[in-house]
Amino acid sequence: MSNDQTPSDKFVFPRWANYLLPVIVVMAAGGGAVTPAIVGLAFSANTLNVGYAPVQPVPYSHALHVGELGLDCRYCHTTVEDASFAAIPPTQTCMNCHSGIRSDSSRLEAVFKSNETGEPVQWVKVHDLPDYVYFNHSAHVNKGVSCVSCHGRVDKMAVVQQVKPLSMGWCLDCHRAPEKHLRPLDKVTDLAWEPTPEAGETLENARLRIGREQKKKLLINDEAYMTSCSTCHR
Amino acid sequence: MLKWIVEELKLPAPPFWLIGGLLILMCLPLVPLALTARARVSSSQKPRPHIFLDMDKQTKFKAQADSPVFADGRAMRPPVAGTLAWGEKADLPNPDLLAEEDHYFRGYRLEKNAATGGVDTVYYQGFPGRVSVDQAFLSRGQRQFNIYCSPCHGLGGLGDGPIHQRALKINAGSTGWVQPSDVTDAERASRPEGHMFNTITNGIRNMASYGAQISVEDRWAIVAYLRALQMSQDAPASLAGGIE
Ligand code: HEC
Ligand code: HEC
Ligand code: HEC
Ligand code: HEC
Ligand code: HEC
Ligand code: HEC
Repeated sequence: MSNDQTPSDKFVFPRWANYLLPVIVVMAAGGGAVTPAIVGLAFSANTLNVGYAPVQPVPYSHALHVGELGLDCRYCHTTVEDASFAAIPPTQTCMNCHSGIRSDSSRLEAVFKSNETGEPVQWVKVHDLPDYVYFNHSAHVNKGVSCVSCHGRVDKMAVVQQVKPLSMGWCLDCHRAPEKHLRPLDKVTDLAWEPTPEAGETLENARLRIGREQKKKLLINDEAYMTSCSTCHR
Repeated sequence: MLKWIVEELKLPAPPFWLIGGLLILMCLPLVPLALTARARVSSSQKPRPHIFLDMDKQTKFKAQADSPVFADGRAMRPPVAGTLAWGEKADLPNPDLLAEEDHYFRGYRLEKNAATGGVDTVYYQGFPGRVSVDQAFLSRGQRQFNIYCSPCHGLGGLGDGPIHQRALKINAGSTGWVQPSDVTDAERASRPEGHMFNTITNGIRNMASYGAQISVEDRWAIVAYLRALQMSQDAPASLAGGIE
């Protein structure tokens, strides 16, 4: 330290430091507003949950089997109408056809191996609710809620991908106003179904009209029941 | 503006690094925003992160989960062969209990053949007592036929379904594909109901079994619908029970 510096010089901030005060104020105010927004966006179920498309042990394609060949969902997911869960088809279901079709294909190797050994094919679960939530497929499918409302256009997916957040808010959005999603029971597995509007009616209104009819016909529970905690947390 | 402040307050111009640093700080929030935007439009092969585990993963087995306890890794046990599930119809109005059971659950009975000393398989004619073949039953059969059988046999049962069409196109005959039968031809129409039921349950020749996919009652409904299809081939429409 040189001796010709006076003590007062030592502790004086450089003059540009005066800029820091407004900068800090603006930053604090802006950051306070922006940070929660960013955190909210980044950690919302729409960001974290949507888009999960794991690699499966067999390159099975719904776009081919459902979209092109026209198989009904229930041919494979046999339990959707009767049980809480949707059965992933056992190897035997694939072998119904693949004992004769593409029976020399290397892409089906895991299926043929499973058929010989009896060990199941290790499909990776895509849609996965937390274990404290009670979900039931038959409650929805038998009340005119189509697979497409919750799984998207599976019939166009070569690889199954989660397209809905499956968050509590998302479940409740529908439980508060199910009529937007209800359709005739024989159209539940017809993912491309659109209502036919009557003269002068928009598509949206036709959907609502049919939804309201179904809601009355199928005796859908009221909002209080549908949004009560014990409906989904039991 | 800046110039005015500098002159009025007699401040020196802000140093270059201060301006640079500020600009960088202001751009920082764009990084998580960009990452968020990317996560929203792209798909991911990794499962969702569980930031707070809460009780998302509990030490219980849900349907179709895997379990280290059993050799084949399934937590959900396949039914033991020859057993019935709870809730399968067990009320038996028929005093001839075992015959009725055979008819309903198997479609055939085994009879000792005195002449050869062996055992014959005898298929039941007609429907078992506990199903009533009415319009609702036929409609159910039509629905289940269209789901499980029409991919191969076609909506009309003629053996020309979309799977067979595709199999022809990719020449699957060379890898073992056999054309599905026309279930309405004379030979098929002459089969007893029990035989058709057993065909669905256990398969026949090159056709696989559908017993695991279709419930017993629905199998009988499909048999009823097959009969309706067969009748619609050479009979007036009135006989087919009004099925479109
Ligand atoms: C030929 C059989 C077959 C048919 C028909 C079929 N699926 Fe699938 N599905 C599978 C198999 C096998 C898997 C597991 C592998 C995968 O996720 O791709 C699966 C997985 C799924 C999943 C993801 C399950 C999870 O792990 O979360 C959904 C959702 C689904 N299917 C919906 C449908 C819908 C909707 C239809 C009708 C439009 C349909 N499937 C028709 C065989 C089938
Ligand atoms: C109802 C009949 C049917 C069933 C059931 C079925 N498939 Fe297929 N699958 C087909 C047909 C037909 C093709 C061939 C289409 C083509 O190549 O033009 C095919 C093609 C495939 C291919 C592509 C093979 C290749 O070499 O290109 C895979 C993989 C496949 N299936 C997997 C499965 C799995 C896994 C299951 C069971 C969950 C299954 N399939 C059930 C009819 C079926
Ligand atoms: C109301 C929304 C909803 C509808 C409608 C719906 N699903 Fe699901 N599905 C889900 C949810 C949520 C899960 C995840 C369940 C879990 O993790 O316990 C799921 C899981 C699945 C699975 C994986 C196996 C399982 O049960 O966990 C398959 C396969 C499936 N759905 C197929 C279908 C098919 C086929 C249909 C139409 C017939 C359908 N789903 C209709 C919400 C729905
Ligand atoms: C697209 C609309 C829709 C979505 C999304 C939806 N539900 Fe539902 N849910 C319904 C309808 C309609 C019913 C039938 C109510 C009735 O029978 O009165 C229902 C019934 C139920 C029931 C049975 C209620 C009972 O006791 O009868 C449960 C449990 C349930 N939903 C849970 C969920 C959960 C958990 C989610 C989110 C993962 C969800 N639902 C998402 C429409 C929906
Ligand atoms: C329609 C079905 C439904 C109803 C009704 C419902 N929940 Fe939920 N709840 C869910 C689902 C689905 C999740 C899981 C969301 C996720 O994946 O994080 C959940 C998660 C939660 C969580 C955990 C949140 C977390 O992130 O850890 C709490 C706490 C909760 N619910 C409380 C309630 C209460 C209190 C009520 C009644 C006011 C209620 N829920 C009603 C479906 C429902
Ligand atoms: C994967 C394609 C496929 C499906 C799906 C299928 N079948 Fe078949 N079916 C066949 C084939 C192939 C044959 C001819 C077998 C042979 O001649 O080797 C056949 C033969 C038959 C026969 C004639 C048996 C006889 O008496 O000679 C009947 C009846 C029959 N199927 C009924 C059904 C019913 C009912 C269903 C629905 C539950 C069904 N099939 C689903 C492929 C299929």
